[in-house]
Amino acid sequence: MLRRGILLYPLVRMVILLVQGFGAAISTGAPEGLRAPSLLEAHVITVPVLIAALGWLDLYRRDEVMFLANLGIGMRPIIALYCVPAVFIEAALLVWQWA
Amino acid sequence: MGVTILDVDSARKSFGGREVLHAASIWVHEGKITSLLGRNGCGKTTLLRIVTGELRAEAGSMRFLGEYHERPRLHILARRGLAYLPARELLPYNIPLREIFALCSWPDRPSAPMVEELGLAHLLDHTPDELSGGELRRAEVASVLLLQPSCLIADEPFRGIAPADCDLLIAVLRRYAASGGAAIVTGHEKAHMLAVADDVIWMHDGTTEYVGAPGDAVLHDRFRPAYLG
Repeated sequence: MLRRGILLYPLVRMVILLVQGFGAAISTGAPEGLRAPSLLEAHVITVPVLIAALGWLDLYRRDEVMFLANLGIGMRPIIALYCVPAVFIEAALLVWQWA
Repeated sequence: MGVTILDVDSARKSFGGREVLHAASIWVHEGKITSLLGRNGCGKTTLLRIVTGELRAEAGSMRFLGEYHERPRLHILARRGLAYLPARELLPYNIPLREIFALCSWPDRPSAPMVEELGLAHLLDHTPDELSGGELRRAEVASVLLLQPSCLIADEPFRGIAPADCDLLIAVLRRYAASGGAAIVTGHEKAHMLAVADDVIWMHDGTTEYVGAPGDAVLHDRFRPAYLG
């Protein structure tokens, strides 16, 4: 599961960069009140959430969710497992960018 | 009659305006196996998916080990001793059986005897996606029984299994019941479904009807012509 979370990471990050690009383009001519997402929102929150959603769909498609449920493992720890590597990687990238 | 382990009463479910289940009930007692029989599309799997929380019933109640579950969730029921073998594939496709069985086994109960009995010992280093349909189904059955549930919900446990191996599976399920386990099984292999059962429930027209022990069921005036043929 952890491995799949990490494998999904580059894909999701690419999508985020594209969305950020569009966001930046839109925000230059956006009406007042609209703004591009902050670095923190875009990276440390959005990336892990997207990875968790994709990971969940991947497991659900393969019915592995049912196997884990038989072991007494619900949705929350699975999502957390997908999120954890992404949170660490994104946080490290942010620190590196600011340093 | 033993303690009622699982009891679903008057479940109702519709899909897109079509009522699939109305007043469908099922139950199983400690140390017994209930066979749920009915034609394709009659709602057997729907009823089992309601029991395990995959689907939500529009009406009815579900009681497991004396406790009502308004909104059942499989992982919570599993912690209380329920295991579910779905009709679809269950096991992670890329983990060797040895690791899967280790995950499902209790520390004080080795998995080897059941793995041996179900003819899986030579496949322990293989992953589920390397197995044939029958081998995979036997591995899935082994994995849920290794959890030592107090109640097993098995949707088509005999699917894809060769007739000789079905007898092995019946023996394993009977021993599980003899040790106090309860099981609800569905399927279309009439002879096997009757051989494994203590009680038979017939599902037809969106509802259920108790037709007795297998010996009574085969003589039932409506069940026999309508289902057994």
